[in-house]
Amino acid sequence: MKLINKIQQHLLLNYPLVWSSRVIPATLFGLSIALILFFLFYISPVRDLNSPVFISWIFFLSLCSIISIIVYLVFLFRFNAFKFFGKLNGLQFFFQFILIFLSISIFVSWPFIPRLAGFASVYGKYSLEELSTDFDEAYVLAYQLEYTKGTAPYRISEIVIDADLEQESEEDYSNNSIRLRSFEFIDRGRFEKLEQKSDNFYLGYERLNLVCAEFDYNITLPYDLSDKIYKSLENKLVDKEAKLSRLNQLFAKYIPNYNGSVLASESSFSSDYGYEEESKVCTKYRLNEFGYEMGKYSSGLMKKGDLILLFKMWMYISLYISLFIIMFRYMSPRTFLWTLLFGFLLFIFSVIVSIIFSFESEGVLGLMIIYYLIFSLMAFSLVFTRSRNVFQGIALNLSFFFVHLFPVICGFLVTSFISAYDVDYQSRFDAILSTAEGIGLFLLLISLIFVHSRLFYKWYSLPEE
Amino acid sequence: MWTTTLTEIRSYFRHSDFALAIRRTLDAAYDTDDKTIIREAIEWGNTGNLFLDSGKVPDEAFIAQGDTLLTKLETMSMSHTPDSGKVFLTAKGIQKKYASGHFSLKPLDLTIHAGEVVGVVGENGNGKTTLLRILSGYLNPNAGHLNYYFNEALFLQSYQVKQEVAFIPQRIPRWYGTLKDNLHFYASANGFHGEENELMTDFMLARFGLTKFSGLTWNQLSSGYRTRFEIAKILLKRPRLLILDEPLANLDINAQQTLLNDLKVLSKSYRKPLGVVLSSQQLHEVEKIADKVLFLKNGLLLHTQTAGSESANVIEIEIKNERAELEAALSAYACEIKYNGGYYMISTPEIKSAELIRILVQSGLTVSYFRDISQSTKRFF
Repeated sequence: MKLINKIQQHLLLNYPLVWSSRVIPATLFGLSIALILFFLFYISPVRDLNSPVFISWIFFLSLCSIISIIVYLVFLFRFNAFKFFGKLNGLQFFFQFILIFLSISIFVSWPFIPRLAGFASVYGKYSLEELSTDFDEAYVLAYQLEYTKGTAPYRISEIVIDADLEQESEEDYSNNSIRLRSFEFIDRGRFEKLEQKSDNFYLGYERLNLVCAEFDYNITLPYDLSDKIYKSLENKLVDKEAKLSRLNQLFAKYIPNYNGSVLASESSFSSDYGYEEESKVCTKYRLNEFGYEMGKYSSGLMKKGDLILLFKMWMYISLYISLFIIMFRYMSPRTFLWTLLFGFLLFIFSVIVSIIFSFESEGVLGLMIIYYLIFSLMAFSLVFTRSRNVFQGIALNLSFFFVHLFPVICGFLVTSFISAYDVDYQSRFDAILSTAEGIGLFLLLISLIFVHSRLFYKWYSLPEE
Repeated sequence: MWTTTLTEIRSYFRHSDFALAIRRTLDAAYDTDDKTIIREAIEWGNTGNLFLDSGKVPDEAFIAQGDTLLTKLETMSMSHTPDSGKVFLTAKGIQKKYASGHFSLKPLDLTIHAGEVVGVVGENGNGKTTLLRILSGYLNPNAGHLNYYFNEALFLQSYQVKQEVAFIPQRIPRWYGTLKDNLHFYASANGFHGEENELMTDFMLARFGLTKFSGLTWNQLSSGYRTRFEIAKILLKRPRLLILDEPLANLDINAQQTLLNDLKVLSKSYRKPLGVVLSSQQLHEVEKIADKVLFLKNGLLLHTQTAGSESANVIEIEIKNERAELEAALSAYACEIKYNGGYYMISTPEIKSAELIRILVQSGLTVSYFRDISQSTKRFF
């Protein structure tokens, strides 16, 4: 504590902006909590995003995060060198933004930590592909073993091959979510896009459906998938002992203290196939237990896309809060509140205009670009102004807040001209948006150092009318 | 000039006015810009303040130390900076009309020099605060020109003006944290870092008698000390123009005198002469220190009083007798008698104040209050 006080005193005497941003106490407190949370969730088995316990934790941590940010703001707003016209320049303005962003991002990270800790705890043990393959194999093996005892319930003739599945609309996906998830699971590479649209992805249950059940739904399968199904069925009566041995291996791999028996109970197989029968097979071959144990790994794992998404969520939430803080810090409170109200009213107005004129996405994006240009022009008119007014303040705030979004909006507009049926649509879309995001952040940096910092100084120091 | 300053300080010691002696010695040390001398003066000043706070008379050792310090100061040759006497601000025809239409500040011309104290007086709602806010760059006049000679930047001219012109509003805004931390922060944000920051903060604490309150917060300070703190804080900004709106409003009579003297001395600083503008209802006190007094009535600059300006004899008196007796006593002279707020105001072109009091006493009137307001804006009220 003495050391912290000493550091704080040194900052107070030498680096007033760093001291007044309260970055040291905020970072120390925020990081301590973050580390404790990370440790707790690293050792915790609860990683299922849909479990009530997990959701409660996320909710609780979000609440803690919000409260901490409010407390941080109370301390932050106590000292502001800008509002008594200290000797500041654009670089210091930028530096202050970075410090505030740093503090805020630590508080914002708390609700993300359970997910990251879960990922870290399983990272490197099994890949998602390995889990997927093993899971597939275990279910196929279990059903193949079961087939040797009874009549296969398949009606293979009902398999319809439909290669145009990818081009179905999003509504179709949601209506047929079960079968889509099945596809996704089987052929991950090909159906990765579909998987991203599915918010209820599980290892296991869908695989079971695919192997033996979904034929009843008159499922439509793409070509390469059907080959896998045929192969699994052809092998159903071959080498029972080897299959049992392999299943044992798989179970031993994932179930702690595995007792060596894949059979949990005896059950008869009926030719009237349905969910009840599925359940019987699962129970008989300990597939539920197997799935549960495997789920401990699979629920923690994230793909690169998920990690990027999580990172972006964290970054953008922190960025927006920081932008609001900077606006409030460098603007009169009254104008800041007017900005919020104006932004809200503008949103309502835009929605009404879009409805009346039946705007497509291009129209809405075009409207946003026009807004931004108007705000920017108004903000830049400060250069010639001799007194400040609330409208210029609002325009300045909005042009600042959306500076990093302007290229993204333009990017969206560009992508709207690319045909969604193009083979490389997704890759082009991703590339354009990533570039736009990068440009947006670069513009924000330039704006903080050279443009908006000076405009904020100018606006705040101008005499009132 | 420097010698005169130090001689004055010695005379304060001789007359045992230690409070004033300490403040002026600190000011003199500050003017030298010599860190060793300033540090020495701070230590000595803090010791002196301890004596004064405890109600004790400073001991011989303290006085001897002060003498040594003054001797050191005497060895240093000081002269006023080139800024001294320079025009800091000129206002030509500035006027302000509010959208509500209730009040307007009529066209007004004004020049403020470095080292000059300008008092703005007038009744409530006559435009004092409006004028001060315009001069400090917080309010835009509808017409007229305001020029600050220290303007250099073009784009951020208004920001630079705010850095050079310090404005202390009547209601001092609340601050948080300890008094000392706030001073450190202000010093730091205005370019004093490390040891220099410590030095400047300690200096301001000692200079304004705030050392023993350095650990206190806003809630723990009286309004008088808050005003002192505000001035100490503002001075860390090293402004060229200091504008204070009703700074005497919350101060007791001693604190008022101290503050006004401080302003007078600070304005005449060798190192950094200040232009000072203050508004107040305390006419007498303001007039004592102001080089120029502006009287505003209904937004109009009715009169500018400068030292030595010619005007008719106006005497304000309070007597225990009836008005008829007063009129009888003065019947032989050309004069006008008005009754104004409990006092009689006698305007006469021919009777000087000394002559008037002699006439009143000889007439057997009981005079309980007598003041020559010929040079005062009080006569306009």
